[in-house]
Amino acid sequence: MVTHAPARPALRIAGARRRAGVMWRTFGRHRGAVGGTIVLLLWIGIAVFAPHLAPYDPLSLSGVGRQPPSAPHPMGTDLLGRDILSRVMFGARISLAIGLISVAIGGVSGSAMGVVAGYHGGRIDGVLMRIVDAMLAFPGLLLALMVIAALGPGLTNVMLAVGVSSIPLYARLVRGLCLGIRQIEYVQAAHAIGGSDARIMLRHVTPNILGPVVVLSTLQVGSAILVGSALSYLGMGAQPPTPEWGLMTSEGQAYLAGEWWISTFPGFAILSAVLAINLMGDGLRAALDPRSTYR
Amino acid sequence: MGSYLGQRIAVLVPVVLLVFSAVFAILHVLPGDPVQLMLAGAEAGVTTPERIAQLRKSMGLDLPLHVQYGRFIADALRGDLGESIRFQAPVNDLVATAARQTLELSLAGMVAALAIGIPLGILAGLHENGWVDSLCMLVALLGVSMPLFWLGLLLILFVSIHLQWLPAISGDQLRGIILPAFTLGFVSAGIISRLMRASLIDALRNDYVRTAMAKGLPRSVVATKHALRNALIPVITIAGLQFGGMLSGAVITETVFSRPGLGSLIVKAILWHDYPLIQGAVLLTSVSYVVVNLGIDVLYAWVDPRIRYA
Repeated sequence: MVTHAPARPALRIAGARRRAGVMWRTFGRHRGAVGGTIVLLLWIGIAVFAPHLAPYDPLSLSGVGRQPPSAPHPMGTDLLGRDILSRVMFGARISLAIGLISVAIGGVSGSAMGVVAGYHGGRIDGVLMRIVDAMLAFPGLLLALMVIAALGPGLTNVMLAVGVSSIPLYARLVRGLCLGIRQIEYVQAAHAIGGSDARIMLRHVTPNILGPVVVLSTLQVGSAILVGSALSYLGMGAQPPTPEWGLMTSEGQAYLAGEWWISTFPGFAILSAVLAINLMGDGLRAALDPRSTYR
Repeated sequence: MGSYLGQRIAVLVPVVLLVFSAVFAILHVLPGDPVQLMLAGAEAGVTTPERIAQLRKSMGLDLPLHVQYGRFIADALRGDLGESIRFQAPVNDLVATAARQTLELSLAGMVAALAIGIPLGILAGLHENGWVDSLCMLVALLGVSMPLFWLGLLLILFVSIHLQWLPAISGDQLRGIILPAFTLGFVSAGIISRLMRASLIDALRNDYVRTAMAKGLPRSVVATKHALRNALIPVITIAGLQFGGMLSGAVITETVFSRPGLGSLIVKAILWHDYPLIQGAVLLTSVSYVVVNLGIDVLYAWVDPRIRYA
């Protein structure tokens, strides 16, 4: 036993390296996934460096209102004369924050529910799953709208609303995975040799559910951005003068016939960010799938 | 079949009860005084203490919470959803009129989703891994990545304003529903086409397909007559589930195209703080969503006996 001890970690590292290599190659083979990742990184860069990159202040008037795209204002100006490019750049901060924070809220609470339900089973499982069923009885956006109806409009409440409405997805996914893992022999063996619940969950259960949860979370960031911007479009999220993409789209709606650029560019920003995330998510799904054997 | 149906309905009872409770809670867990909020939002007038007291009494808000809860459930079960503050009219009537409009839009949206999604999926599946496949799947991905409200606005801009082919505001005529239906159906078309593709590719690998090919039938006949029929079964199930989800997309579509309906009614009711109307509309939407999904499950179990015994 003692003589073998040094060999095991080394073997494990080699195995993990090989596995990581396979993942990278599978991911890299998806041209769409690579393209999506590049676009997403661009958006993240824009969000982080918005104050340095944006040509104007997103909130102050930088020209005449409703000016068409031109050299000083590549995306034109909005109703009041604010630079749309600058507002789209700052909007990336808000949309990415909505995506990440709401997924964190939904992912952590939903996964916790799923682990408890799937691992313990019995009555706890029954109660938790009925709650999940009730949440699923509200079609998508409606659940988020209910939370807004109770808490009032605003960006923070949008994050909460979108997060809460994604709880059932995580709870169901993680519960299903846990039910499967409980049956696996090495988990039963770990139980048999007296491993504590906490240790088994951490060492055996978590690594097995991590892949699917990461994939779902990636795709959820995209749909959270969509739902968040839809709520702002409906007037229930960000309030003026916040440079939020959905809100900006709705502000230009009345001027669509003459001044198409006011709504078009913010909407395109939403599409490009969500499409990039979905492309990356599809690639991740292929890469993290243990059955992918491309070498 | 009977026991399967009974079992499914039994599971539904606690779910519907929870839905009722959640809808009740939106009004009663509110921070602050809901009555004051409602009057400020819904009547937009001066809120005298007399009016507040009157509304509080007429809505039964002066009673203990458990009594209110019992009343709410009893009334809802009897089909009485109360009275809208903004419209001063029974919620039942408002919701019923809106529901008809939304049902119309959802049906038209479903037709659009199938008309786009199925051919797209077949095309992709027949050209697996070719450039046609990539193109079709890019369109499908666009469907699930597209902000609905923006798609609606682009369609209005190009089809209604520039080309002047179709009206942007949907009146009563049939032409008015085409753009909203396309907008609503595009997301589901993305999901349907991806499943159609996968299902067709699976079906094409079956032995009976190989046999048909071996006896010399042309590829097009094998694909349509042998593979496609089997490949359509899972697609139809997903299409059914998507139909329930259309209620959610209707919220946006109705707002963009200024169509009356349940979705736009809920949005307005929330902005006006008209809580009886929110409760009624949300309750109807979610209960019909649950019933539609149950109907599809039962239909599927009837078609495929394996489901019943799983």
